[in-house]
Formats: sequence, C-alpha cells, structure tokens
Amino acid sequence: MNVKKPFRTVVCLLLFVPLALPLSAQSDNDLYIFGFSQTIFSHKNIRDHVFPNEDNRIPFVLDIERNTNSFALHQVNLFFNKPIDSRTTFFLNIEATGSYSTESQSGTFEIPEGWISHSISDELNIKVGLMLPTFNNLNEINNRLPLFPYLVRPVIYERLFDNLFVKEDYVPQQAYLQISGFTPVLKNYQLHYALQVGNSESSYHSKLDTGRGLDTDESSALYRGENLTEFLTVSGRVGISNMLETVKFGISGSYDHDNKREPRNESIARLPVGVLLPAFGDIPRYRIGMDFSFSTDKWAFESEAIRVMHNHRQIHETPQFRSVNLNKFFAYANLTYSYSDRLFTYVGWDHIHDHSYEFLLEDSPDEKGVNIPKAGLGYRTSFNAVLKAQWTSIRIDRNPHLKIYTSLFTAGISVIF
Amino acid sequence: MKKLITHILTAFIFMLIFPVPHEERAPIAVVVSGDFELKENMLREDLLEIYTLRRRTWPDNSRVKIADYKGETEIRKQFYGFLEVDIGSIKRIWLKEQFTGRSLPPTIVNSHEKMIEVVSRQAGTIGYIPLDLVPETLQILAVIE
Repeated sequence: MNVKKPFRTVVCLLLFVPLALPLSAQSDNDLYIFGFSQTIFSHKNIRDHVFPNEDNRIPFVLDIERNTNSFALHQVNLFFNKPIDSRTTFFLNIEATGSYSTESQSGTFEIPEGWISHSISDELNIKVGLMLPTFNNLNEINNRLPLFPYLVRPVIYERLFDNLFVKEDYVPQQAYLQISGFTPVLKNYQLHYALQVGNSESSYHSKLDTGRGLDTDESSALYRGENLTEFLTVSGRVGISNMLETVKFGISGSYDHDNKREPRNESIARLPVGVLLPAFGDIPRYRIGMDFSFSTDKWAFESEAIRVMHNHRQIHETPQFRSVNLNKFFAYANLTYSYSDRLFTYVGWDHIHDHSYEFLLEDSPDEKGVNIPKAGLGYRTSFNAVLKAQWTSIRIDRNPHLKIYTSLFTAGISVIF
Repeated sequence: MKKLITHILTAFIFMLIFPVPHEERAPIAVVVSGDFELKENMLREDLLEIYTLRRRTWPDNSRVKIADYKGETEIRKQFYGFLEVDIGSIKRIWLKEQFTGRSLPPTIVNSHEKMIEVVSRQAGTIGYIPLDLVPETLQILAVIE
C-alpha cells in the first residue's frame, strides 16, 4: 500500500473541513461532514492444546497460553455528503482502522464508499460509484459502529477477525452500480429492493503496478486493483419493513466466482499443517441470505443467515476430489434489552461453518463449525456517546486434533461527531 | 395519629372536589416555507413519512429539509406524541439514514424564534411552532391540538 497518498488525502480533507462549516444549517449548497470514532481496550486470552497426531503432522503435545492487553483506535470514519440538487447526492466515506499509522505500519486506511446517487422517484434510485452492496441486514451498514449495541461485530463483518475469516467468502464487498427503491404495500409497510453489480472478488485484482507482472494476467494490468477477469459480482436484496423499521425482513442473493487458482489453507485451525487446498480454478458461487429483525419499546432482536453454495461439477470430475465441498454457512442473532433510554444489555451468538477443508483431514476441527457466544452492556452518556463492554468467546474443541479457547473482553466508547 | 389521618382524608376529599386543573397544551402548527402548493391539514401518516425520511421531495421537486428542537422540550414531546413515536426511535432512523448517505441531518434549533428563522430562510424546510407564533410568510401544513 502506498501510504503517502492516503496521508495527503487526509491532510487535504482536514484543510477543507473548516470551509464547509457551519454544519448546523441545511442548504442545497452545503457540504455536510460528520463521522464517528470508536476506541477500545481489549484483553485477550488464548489457550491452545494440540494433540500429537501423524495425520496433521504434529509429532508432540503443544500447550500454549497467551494473554494480551491492547488499546486501539478501533475505527474512525469521516463522511462527506454533498447535495448536488434536490434529487442528486454525492457521498464519500473515509475509514481508518486499528490505530492507523504509517510510521508504525499499523491499521488500514480505506475509502470504502464514494458514489453519486440520483433519485428518479421513490421506486427508482440510481447509484454509481464505489459502494457497499445491500445484502442482508448488516452488509451495507457493517462499518457504521454507532448503529450497533455491540462493540465487536458478528465475526464475518469484524475487522479484528480479518486474519481468521475471509469476509468476501461470505458477503459481497463492493459494487459500482445499483438500482434501488421502495413502494408502499399494506398499511405503513414498504417493499424495498436493491440490485447491484461490481467487480469479482478482490483476489482476482491486480496486486502489482502497471504491467510489472510476470504471468499473463498481471502483465496485462493497466492499474493496481484492476479486475483481471471478465467475472463480475451481481447481488441484491428484496425486503419488507414498516416505516419505523421496527419489523424488517429480507431475502438476499449473489452470484460471482470463487478464486481457487492458488493452493491455500485458510481453515480456521490451519490444519493439517503444511497441506493446502488444491487449485481448483474459478468456481461459480451463489450466496443466499435471509435477515429478520424486530423491536419493541424494550426489546430489539436482529438476525441473519447466509448459505454460500458452489457449483462443484468441474471439481467432482476428478476422482480424488469427489468429496470436495466448498460450501459455507454463517448465522448470527442478537437480542438487546433496554432498561432505560441510556442503559442496555445484550446477548448474541454467531455460528460459522466452512466445509472446504473437511476432506483434507478426518474429524477436521472445521467439521463442527464454530459457535461464538457473546454478551455485553452499554450506557449512553448522551445520544452521541456510548460506553460499551463486551465478552466474546471462540471455542474449537470437539475434535481429536486440538482445542482452542479464546476469550475476548472488550470495553470502549463510540462517539458520533 | 388520628389528627394526621383526618388531615390526609380532608386533603384527599378536597382534591377530589377541586382537582388541579390540567395544564392545557397550546396548539402546534406544522409549517413550511416555499412557493409550492400542498394540501392543507396533512395527516399524521404524511408527517410520519416526512419525519422518518421516507418522503424526500416536495411536489415541486425541491428537497424536504427538517428542522427540529434540541433536547426533550414540551413542544417536541407533544409533536412526537401526535406522531406516536418516541424521540429516540426517530433519532436512530435519522442517524442510519445520515450514515448511509440517503438523507441529510436535520437542522437543530433551541428556540421558537430560531425555528421560525430557519424555516423562513430555507425554502422546503419543515418545522413546528406554537400556532400563535406563526408568521404570515409561512404555510401551515397541519395543526396539532
């Protein structure tokens, strides 16, 4: 990553911030700047116990316990909203995560969204530019931390777990063209839809500068990040909700290709050691999602499930790969109870199951899936500042190869500005 | 002890005969500035659509802008009581719409004078003030008793 460019961008934006003030009045010529930050402290305890096993190439017992304490500026987002005219808007989202610093080479800096939208009517809105696809309940808003009661998001959306789970295996990450809209149905209810198209998954994109690659794909790249295939990702959601969104239900879907051109091992336990999933090529992939949420005065429930399916026909033609199954499943649910306008508590549960590596090892740790229970509470000091605390547990133990117990206690503050 | 019970009973009977008069709420006018024509006396559902940011443009295609009061003032409670929503829910909807780029944040004011100023100055801005303060320059969309 070229770290100088984002730094220059931030400096330019900060110089322009005072020009856009004051923000308290609305006019069609104003530029609106707002955002949020979340700072966290986390205590992590990891206990690994690995059994000696010839199948997974570990000759001796391994017992490891690690404890870490860490503060982090978990995430900062700056949003810029510029109304072009009464029906057209430009929106930019700039995001830094993990105490981003070029000097200490920590964290990430990203522009996840930069789009222009034009509303022809309530039923037809056209959006062009880089955007987060509408898929299930969370994907479009997954980086808007103050909207959630929890500090640590469901695992496939959480940046802290980027090294454990590959986000784009479960949900589409980018789109560049979207049509969306809503229309009234029943009394006080609306039918929403969104359909979008974007590049193939990021592993297909050029990682090198122009024309510097050695293989044919990379040498044809015009710029870094260029999609080097003809594949695109098509995704969408159809849903129904009432006006206050106290009841919301939707079904989502996507079609793209899973890049299995390189052998790799991204199983949760990374077992068997040194054995990689073979290169299968470009595998057609479908995702089906379902989301449901409702809230009352005191209770709020949200949930979603995603089934990731692959077309294995080409893989199964090879006799030794007849049992290969690349499918995945993810689900989460969260229940929040508000004692008052300020104090709330919640319990949640995530489940993730990747079948891809099961055929490499009998009784693979991945076979039972991973359950992630969590609980927490929050206190709003004002509408713009919330103190939160959360306990999260990741446990992998129902297999003969290893046991991993991870406990994560996180406390933090979300501030909207 | 007997005396105390007598006093309490007397006070209770007195309160039953002469109840404390309930403070009458002043009627509120929902107002807007602009040259477009609107049907008078908007219904609760119309206002709810506007304040939940589902209706984003006026009939002349200009953008709907919202002005609201700061804090939990009486007039604010009365207005959202009429809409049958709590202020917290509305604020959460605004925040989500604002963070997803679908809508702009509302203009927040801390007095009726400022509300009149903001609504008068920016065409297409909707707000609410006590009925007896409405200047002639503003259109009344609804009156909430």
